[in-house]
Amino acid sequence: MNFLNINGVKKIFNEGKESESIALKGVDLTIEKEEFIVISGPSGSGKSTLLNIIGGLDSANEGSVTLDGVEITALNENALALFRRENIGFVFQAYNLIPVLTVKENIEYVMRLMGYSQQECDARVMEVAKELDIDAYLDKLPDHLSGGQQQRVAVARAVASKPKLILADEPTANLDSKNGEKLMALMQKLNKDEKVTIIFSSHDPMVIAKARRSIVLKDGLIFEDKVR
Amino acid sequence: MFKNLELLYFKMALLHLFRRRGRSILISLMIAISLIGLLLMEGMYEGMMLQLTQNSIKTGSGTLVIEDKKLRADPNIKYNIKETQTLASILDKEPLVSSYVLRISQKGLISTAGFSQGVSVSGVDLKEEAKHSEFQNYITSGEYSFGARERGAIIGYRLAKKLKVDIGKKVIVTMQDVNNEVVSVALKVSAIIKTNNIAIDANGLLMDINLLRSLTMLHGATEISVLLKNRDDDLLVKQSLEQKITDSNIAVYSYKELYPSLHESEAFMQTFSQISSAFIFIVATLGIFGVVLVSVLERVREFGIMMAIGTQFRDIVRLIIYESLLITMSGYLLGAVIGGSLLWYFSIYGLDLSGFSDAFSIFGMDSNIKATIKQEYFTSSFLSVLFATIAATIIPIRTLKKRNPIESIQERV
Ligand SMILES: Nc1ncnc2c1ncn2[C@@H]1O[C@H](COP(=O)(O)OP(=O)(O)OP(=O)(O)O)[C@@H](O)[C@H]1O
Ligand SMILES: [Mg+2]
Repeated sequence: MNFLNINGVKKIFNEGKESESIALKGVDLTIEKEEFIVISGPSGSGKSTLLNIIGGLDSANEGSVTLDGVEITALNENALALFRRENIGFVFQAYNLIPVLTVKENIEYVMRLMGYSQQECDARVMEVAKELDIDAYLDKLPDHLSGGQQQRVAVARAVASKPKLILADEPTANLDSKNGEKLMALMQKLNKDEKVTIIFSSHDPMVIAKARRSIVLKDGLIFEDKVR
Repeated sequence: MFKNLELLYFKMALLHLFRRRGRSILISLMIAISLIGLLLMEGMYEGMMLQLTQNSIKTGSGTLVIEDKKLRADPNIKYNIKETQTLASILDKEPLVSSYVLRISQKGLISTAGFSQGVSVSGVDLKEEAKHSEFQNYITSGEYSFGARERGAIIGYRLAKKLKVDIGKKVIVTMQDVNNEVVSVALKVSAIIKTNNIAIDANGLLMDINLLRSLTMLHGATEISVLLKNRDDDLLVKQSLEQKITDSNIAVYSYKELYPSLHESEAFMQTFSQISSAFIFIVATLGIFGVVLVSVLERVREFGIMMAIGTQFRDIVRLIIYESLLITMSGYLLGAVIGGSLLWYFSIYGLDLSGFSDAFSIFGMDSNIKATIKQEYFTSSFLSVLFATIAATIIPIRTLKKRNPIESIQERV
């Protein structure tokens, strides 16, 4: 049994309508624990769609996704929300954070949903904040941070609750190359230290080069899948 | 732990309102101001109606009036109560009755040297009335007395003005006795009263009941005016009296039958208060609806991300409802405190409208209006605001519900 099994996943938007577009045409993929994978490919090739379906944020028209033995494509909306909370960390392109909560509260948000005690949250927040070099901003509001700092907080939140899998859709797209590289380096470090599986998408060759395994999508199909 | 999360959402709601404080304060104030207006309208109007009713009851008929059955249709004093003793002993035993007086009422003509006009003559016992109608409190000039030989008259201030008479002046009163013979008597004005009961102020003359008895050859009374400890027991006591009174010529009426307009205005008051509650409900609904909708739409992405990382939809709903309730309830609280204090002030010191005094007394009102305060003003408006808040969040929440998290996240930022 593989850690993540993606089996014949098809995604058609606006099926039957004039605006119908086929985003994924049958994707098969297996991923092992603790892998660090980048998904790249031209715009519109289906990167975001694939990540969303893996993360249970969007449904597939055909095929299945199984994460650590749970077929997430079969779960209902409520069960999915709980499954995501417990198992998957998300980092989006930008504006990941809840604006009224401080950095610390943002990082511990998912842990609190999961029922961790305040002491457990405090300890874990300190740990990841140090790792991601944001421990100086814990009491600030997201608005007062730079884009790079905000993305690091988002990664901290994603990793804090110890999910099995972190999905990051173009996490560096809104950052300059220096901040982008720093974020990638930190994610790589987390991948090793926390033993968390990370899948992210990117356009940026510099960023793509950091991943051990690179999957390239083209027109909704896997075009290339190689391990360096 | 559950509590802890609840607190987190509450805090988030509060912080968000603070972030958008201009808007939050505006809606809060809007609700507060309309609530203040509503409370004042309700309290002042009801206070006015209460005064009007009390005036009419006290100086007029009483809560209940006992008369001969035929008198209403044919106001001839031959239809009078002869067995006043029997009725008095029944009334004495009635525990809900606070006081009663015998009176003789007859229409007549009042004349001075230069002028004459119709008058409503009431034969009263001033001693008894002092505990009942308390006419002594309404005297504007003169003394609460019919003089040494009981040949005095207390007349309404408007009547006095019209006749151009003052204290000590003589008037001639002419009327019919029980046998329809014309009789007349000369009286000296001993006092002038202003009761705000239009019937008395414009046409009323009080004279000694015994003098009027001998004048009209009537031995009992034309009416017995009864006041109850609690005005709302009127029908109860009326029934009880009707059972005990064996004389089939005697009828008991409630003030509600005598002054249907008073009763109607009480009923109107209820409708009025319902309409005002509906009004504040609409204000609150529209106000909060706009704010909630904008606040939800501008945060579609934020909610999308919250849901993506595992927040359940019902917690988002909770957050939205908390925010809405915080705005409306702070508005309610502010309005209730200010409106309540104003009402409390006006209930003690009254609102002085003496500038319009004449216009008011035409309707039988005092120029100083005392507000009433009732708990139901606050509870009904509270419920209105509460339901309005919940109602106003339904559409914004449904708008959000229609999108799945990813659509929300992909919303262009
Ligand atoms: N909500 C949607 N409704 C309709 N079509 C969609 C929707 N989301 C994506 N698509 C279509 O599906 C295809 C794949 O889109 P997707 O966003 O997955 O591409 P991508 O590889 O992430 O592109 P980019 O690099 O621009 O982010 C595109 O043709 C897109 O137009
Ligand atoms: Mg994309």
